[in-house]
Amino acid sequence: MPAEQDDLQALWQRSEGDNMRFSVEELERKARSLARTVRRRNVIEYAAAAVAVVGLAVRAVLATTLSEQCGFCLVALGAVFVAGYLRRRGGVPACDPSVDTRSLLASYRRALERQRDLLASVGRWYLLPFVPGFALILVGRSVDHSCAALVAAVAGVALFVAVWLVNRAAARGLQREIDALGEPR
Amino acid sequence: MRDAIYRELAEEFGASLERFASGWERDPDRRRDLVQEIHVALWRSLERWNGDCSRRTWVYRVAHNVAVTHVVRSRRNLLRSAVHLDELEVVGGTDPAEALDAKRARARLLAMIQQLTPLDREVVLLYLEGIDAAGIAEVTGLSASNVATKIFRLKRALGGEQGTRRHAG
Repeated sequence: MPAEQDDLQALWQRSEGDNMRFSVEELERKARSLARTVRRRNVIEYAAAAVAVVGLAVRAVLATTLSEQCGFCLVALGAVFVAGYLRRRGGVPACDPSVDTRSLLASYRRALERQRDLLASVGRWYLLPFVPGFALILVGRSVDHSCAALVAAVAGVALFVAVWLVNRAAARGLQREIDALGEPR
Repeated sequence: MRDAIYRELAEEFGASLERFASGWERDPDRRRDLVQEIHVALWRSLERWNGDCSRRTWVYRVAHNVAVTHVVRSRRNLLRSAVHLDELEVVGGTDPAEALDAKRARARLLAMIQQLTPLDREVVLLYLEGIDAAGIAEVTGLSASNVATKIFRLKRALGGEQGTRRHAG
């Protein structure tokens, strides 16, 4: 082995660290804390979806026209569909120390590509499910408040376009991250 | 039993794991968190260790898998690491006075490591720990010949003790 390699390795291995040591009790505590964090995050996600659906259901009951009632129900169904779709398609693989790094990077790459495609197609699976419900709500409101319904329609379209643009930009950001992972050479 | 094995491994590889963490995370606080995360993963993983590979390979796999996960989740770090080994080039001759300054030399080496793609970074870190090509291949999943090529590129890039990014057109 050439001398400069040995020098490099020696240089690297000579460097002093903080000499960090952890007791098994500390590691147990940390592991429990990590598991709690994951559980809490899942509960919050489900609770947020449940609150949204219940809120929309209440609005459906309080609505004055059949069109609005159906509209709020459809929006609630759209929310359930979007939450389920995200749950099925949006996950990132958990760290598995028993696999080699190349396989792990490949699974991360696939997960990021999946997320990129998800963001790029947000119009189809995130915005479209809400369109029938919102349309029915607008039709219901236009009976008595035509001007307010027009403002709401314009605001709704603007919101949909903004969501679509933001997600397209996020998809481009994810592509940069996928590129940064590097193809195995 | 698991706790006893963990203590042995922590004693044997503790310093090495800290050096690894420095190759993956610049921020000192996050680096300490990363070291702890590696130790937690190592301790937990020993439940599944069945002796199919050596203890050393297992420890390095755990460490590198946790580190790669850390980098991928911390997008700030990932976007800074986009250079392959063959995109590094040697810069001029070395200043003998600087070469004597081990601290600065190590800082340069570390800066070079931290800009590499995750897989190349892992190969370099294992090489610097003195692991041979076959051992690196076992940890990373690359072929031994691919590892040897990468090490050759590393040696070439570090011929002047310093590598910088070549902006590919």
